[in-house]
Amino acid sequence: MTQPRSKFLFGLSPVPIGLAIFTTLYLWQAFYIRSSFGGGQLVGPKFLPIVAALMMYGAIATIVIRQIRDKSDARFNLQGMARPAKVVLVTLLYVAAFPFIGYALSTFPYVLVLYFIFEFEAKRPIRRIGFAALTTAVFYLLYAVIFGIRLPGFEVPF
Amino acid sequence: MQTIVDIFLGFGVLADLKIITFLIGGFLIGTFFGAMPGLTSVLAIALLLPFTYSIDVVPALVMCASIFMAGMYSGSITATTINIPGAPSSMMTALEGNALMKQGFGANALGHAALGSIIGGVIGTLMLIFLMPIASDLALWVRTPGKFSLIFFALAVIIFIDTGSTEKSLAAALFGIMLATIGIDVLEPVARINFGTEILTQGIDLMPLIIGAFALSEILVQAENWNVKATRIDPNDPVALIRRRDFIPKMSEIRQIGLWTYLRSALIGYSTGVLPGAGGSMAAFVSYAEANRRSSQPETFGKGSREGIAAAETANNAMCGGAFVPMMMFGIPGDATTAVVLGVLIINGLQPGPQLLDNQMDLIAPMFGSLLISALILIPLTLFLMGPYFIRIVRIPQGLLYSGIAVVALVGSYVATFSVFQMTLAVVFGVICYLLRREGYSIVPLLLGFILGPDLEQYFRRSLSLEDGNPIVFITNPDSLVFLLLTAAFVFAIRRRKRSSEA
Repeated sequence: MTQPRSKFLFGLSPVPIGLAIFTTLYLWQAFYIRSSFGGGQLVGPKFLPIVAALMMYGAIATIVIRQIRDKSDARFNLQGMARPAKVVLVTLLYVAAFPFIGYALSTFPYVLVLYFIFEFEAKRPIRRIGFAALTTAVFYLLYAVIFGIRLPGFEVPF
Repeated sequence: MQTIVDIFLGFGVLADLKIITFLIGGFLIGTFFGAMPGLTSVLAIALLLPFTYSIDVVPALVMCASIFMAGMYSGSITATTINIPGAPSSMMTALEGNALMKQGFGANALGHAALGSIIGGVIGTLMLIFLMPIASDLALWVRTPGKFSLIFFALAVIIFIDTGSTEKSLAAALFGIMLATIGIDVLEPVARINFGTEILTQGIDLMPLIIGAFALSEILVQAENWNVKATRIDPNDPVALIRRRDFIPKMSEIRQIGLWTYLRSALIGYSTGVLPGAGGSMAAFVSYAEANRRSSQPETFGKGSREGIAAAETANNAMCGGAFVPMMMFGIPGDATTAVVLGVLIINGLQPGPQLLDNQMDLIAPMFGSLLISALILIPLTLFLMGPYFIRIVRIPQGLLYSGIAVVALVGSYVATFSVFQMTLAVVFGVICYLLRREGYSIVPLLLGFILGPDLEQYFRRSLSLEDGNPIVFITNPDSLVFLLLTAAFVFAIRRRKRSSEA
């Protein structure tokens, strides 16, 4: 189904733009590569990075031109990205907290928030808390007990 | 011949209770992941990847093989019962199986799907075992320029075979290649694309990419589509009630399908599996289309054809055997699942190539045994014991499911190297791959570009250094020329097929 043109980036996908930025930074770094055998060789450590970057520019240009020409193409829009954004945000907080406050103290609230985002047991908060605790315990059992892996505990940051 | 004998002798390792446990556990995990819409056997093996740091290589490979075989088979379960393919390779089974389900022959359809999977899985595995010495000799014939051309062929096929936009597949593959160049150069002790940082000098590990690409991006995709409700089955619906004895297909139906349908489908599946990037979906579709073309009852296709189910399921399970050939001989994955299995090999210090059979037969043979046992014994056993309960798999609340997957993915990416940087990378790749998938970019070319990029560059530069920088070496070398011509032929054929399907 064709989606209405969004005002965000004039409906163009941000992916080619992101790839172009990455490729430019990549190419900039590629020019700093120096062979340990001195100059003179055409095909050295910087050959593939430069070729790949140039090919990527070509691919990006083709994608963007095609997107501009093809008016029937579904346009990029931000609809539906709120929930994934919440998942990403809470996941980044989890990753930041994990090594410092330990597995149990970080995983339990993380799972609880994910249940909230995915509307699991929305009308039964006590069961939701119970399932979060159970999930945390089950995976502790799997990693720490069955596989004998040492998971981080609570670490005082000072 | 001795190689084949050694392979069968290696099956003895499976008699160990611990190995059997991993085999059965892997099969059950693969069945669950393959049956659940939104989950795949690739995801299951990706989540298993961090655990391989803590377990021996033999149980890890045995488990990977059983997950692979189970995942290919179990996609037919929800495909038949609720018309939602558990795996992309079961789309044709959904078409025919669900039609039979609505006519009251659901168990019969599941039985035919299982029979096709058994036959395809066994034939594919036996072909893998018996043709492995030939593949090994062929691998020795391929020199450095030929290896470059072979990898180039693999990447070209993966890029052009993708059903979406070729430019997007190319961009994804190039992105993977570029990520792989970050770190130390393949031939010289030179840091590349590290932005002066020590952490990037170490390069990007395969594991956070796999975890991010398959696990975390899937969670984000599911989070976006959260308003879509899964089909609910009324427990009082008689269509949903399945009895064990109904699973066994009738001999008259099997005779009507015919031995040649099974054999031809297995051959198509195995051959498709050998092609890099082709996968179970292509195997199933090509076999289904061929069965339709040759059928004496083509009018039944689309309305509940047992022949269609048999063709599709035989092919997608035979593909499992074929996919291991390029992965083990050349380090070129046959599909996304074997790409992750290749990761397991690399993590455990095993290098693909002919020497794998010569020196590591005791590690590889149990994996072949796992494929065979999964196909021959576990598929029918699982169907008979658990068949009536399959429908309940989709009743597991998805909020519970995806939260669990998130924890396994993130904690798994940490425990492998005890690195928070790896966890962070997994999240970053998860976001990137989610955005790519959202905009129609395939993740498989990205992953294969990352895996194959270093070898592509290494063989290219080594070939040129052998000929004082003269690129004519790729034409004058016969094995290289063969693969370059194959590349041109495949690209031409694929583009022509795409144009005719668009017309």
